[in-house]
Amino acid sequence: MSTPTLQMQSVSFQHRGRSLLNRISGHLPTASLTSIIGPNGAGKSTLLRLLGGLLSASEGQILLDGAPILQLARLQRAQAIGWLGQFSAEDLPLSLAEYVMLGRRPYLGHFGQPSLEDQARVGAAMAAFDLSGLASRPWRRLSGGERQRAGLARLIAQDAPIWLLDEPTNHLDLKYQALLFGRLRAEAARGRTVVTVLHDLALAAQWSQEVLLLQGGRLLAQGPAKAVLQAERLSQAYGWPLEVWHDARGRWQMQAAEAA
Amino acid sequence: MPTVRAFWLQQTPSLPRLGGWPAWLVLGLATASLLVFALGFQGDGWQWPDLADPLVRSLRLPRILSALLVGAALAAAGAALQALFRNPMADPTLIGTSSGAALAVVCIMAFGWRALPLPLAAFGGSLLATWLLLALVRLVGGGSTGLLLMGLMLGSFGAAMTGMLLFLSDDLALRSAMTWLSGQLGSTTGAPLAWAAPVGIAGIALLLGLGRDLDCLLLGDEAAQGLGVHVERARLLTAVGAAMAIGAAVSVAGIIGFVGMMVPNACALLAGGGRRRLIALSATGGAAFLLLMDTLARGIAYPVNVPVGLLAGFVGPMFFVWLFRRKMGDSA
Repeated sequence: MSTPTLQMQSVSFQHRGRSLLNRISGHLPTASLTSIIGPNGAGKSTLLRLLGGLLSASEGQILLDGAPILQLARLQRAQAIGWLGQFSAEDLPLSLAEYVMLGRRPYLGHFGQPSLEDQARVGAAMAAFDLSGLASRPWRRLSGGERQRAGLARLIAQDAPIWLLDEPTNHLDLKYQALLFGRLRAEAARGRTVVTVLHDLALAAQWSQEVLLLQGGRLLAQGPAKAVLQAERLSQAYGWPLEVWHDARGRWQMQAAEAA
Repeated sequence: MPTVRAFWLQQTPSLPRLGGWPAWLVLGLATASLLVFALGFQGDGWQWPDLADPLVRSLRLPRILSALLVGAALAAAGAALQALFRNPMADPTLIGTSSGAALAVVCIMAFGWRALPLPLAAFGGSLLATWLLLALVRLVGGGSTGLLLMGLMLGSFGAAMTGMLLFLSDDLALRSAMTWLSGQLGSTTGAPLAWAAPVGIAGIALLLGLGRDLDCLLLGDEAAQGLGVHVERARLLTAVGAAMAIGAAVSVAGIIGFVGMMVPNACALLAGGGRRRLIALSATGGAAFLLLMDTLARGIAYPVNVPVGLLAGFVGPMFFVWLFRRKMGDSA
């Protein structure tokens, strides 16, 4: 898989006179799992939207393989970048399989009929998150967790070389969180560039190869998880004392102090 | 204290979903037999329709074709608007787009600009109302309830303007507009079918073409964008297509409420599926439903011609309450 590169070129974003992101530059490593972390209101989701070309930057730009992302044709962009946001539709008359098939929209266009290959991809995507048995279940009878997994299946079906996920662990229990990150890591190893917004620092530490730490619209630090997730730096970003240590099995543990 | 609930307010058992062709077969057969029945039906009896009979050919047939067109256009527009506004209760009448069309038509009649064909005027009025509503919803927000309320206000405003125009004018032609407004098929006040049909059919065709984009819009603007949908253009085209369909329907038959809400929801519940399929099913189902209603309207108080809009007004509110409760129950 030849993965296109994503680059941020001193990107700023203002909304209603408020500066949400301030001159962020950097390179997102290809074929790895990157997490964007930071306190509430740091601009994590805004940055992810800019990376997906869903918002246009007030200044600077996002480059996809060196070309400004907003200048790409919509279908071309949708074939390069898969997006999974936090919004989950309430009332769809679709069955789960029909919903996952929407992931093939960038290839089918307005009138294309799903081919056997499209159907096979949708089947495999559903199987990846234990959804095969629910293929014909109507959307309104799915639970929150099942809908979240269906969104992930849609993302897999879209098969874009870059994945952007906003808080993908919402509604997922521990089993599916592990399944999700295992899958994301495996996809990264196969050459996909995966970027997630996470608020759970322990998950970010455990799974991601690269971490972007945002605070107040600024990029405080970027680098390998080990280098970025230092107690002192995190405490500064979150404005609250945090403790970071490794447990007996070498896992990252983080906890907020009970009082500042 | 236990709550007592009317039987029709209780949750429906989950209905079996009709597959591809059986749904179409059932709908097609029902429509065809209804068509034959309506052609031969007169308040006091039924006889095998004779197309050579001028009564059948120049009175009943156009009226039946109008019913089919109006029903199909309203239901297709409803199915599309429900996706556009992400609200299963969106209906051309409830959100004021029909009132916009009616106001435009009454303006034409009142000021005597007969040079402008009625369906086009109705299209313009309905498009303006849809745009206003989209802008208001963006500006004010308020989600699903806000949309319904603002649509209701917009509709009341349009109806008030229409009423004022009718009241102030003493032209006899405008008096007959009153009957047309209450939703009547087969009146001579409305636009001729030959003018309205192309506008309505073109509108339905446009909406059918947008089916897959509407599916994506239902997932949220960002998800739709991520799937390569040009969100603004899809919205605009949906508003235009729905306005064409509604304009055609209103210019022929005045304001007929609830068809645009009932039929698509019933289709979604029974058959489900993507928006394109839903629009096509709704158009067929809406045509059949309105023909059924109109045939009833012809017979119910024969020889008096009850406006079909009144009849639909009896069934519609009950369906609305049921749907509203179902939706509230889901989100609770």
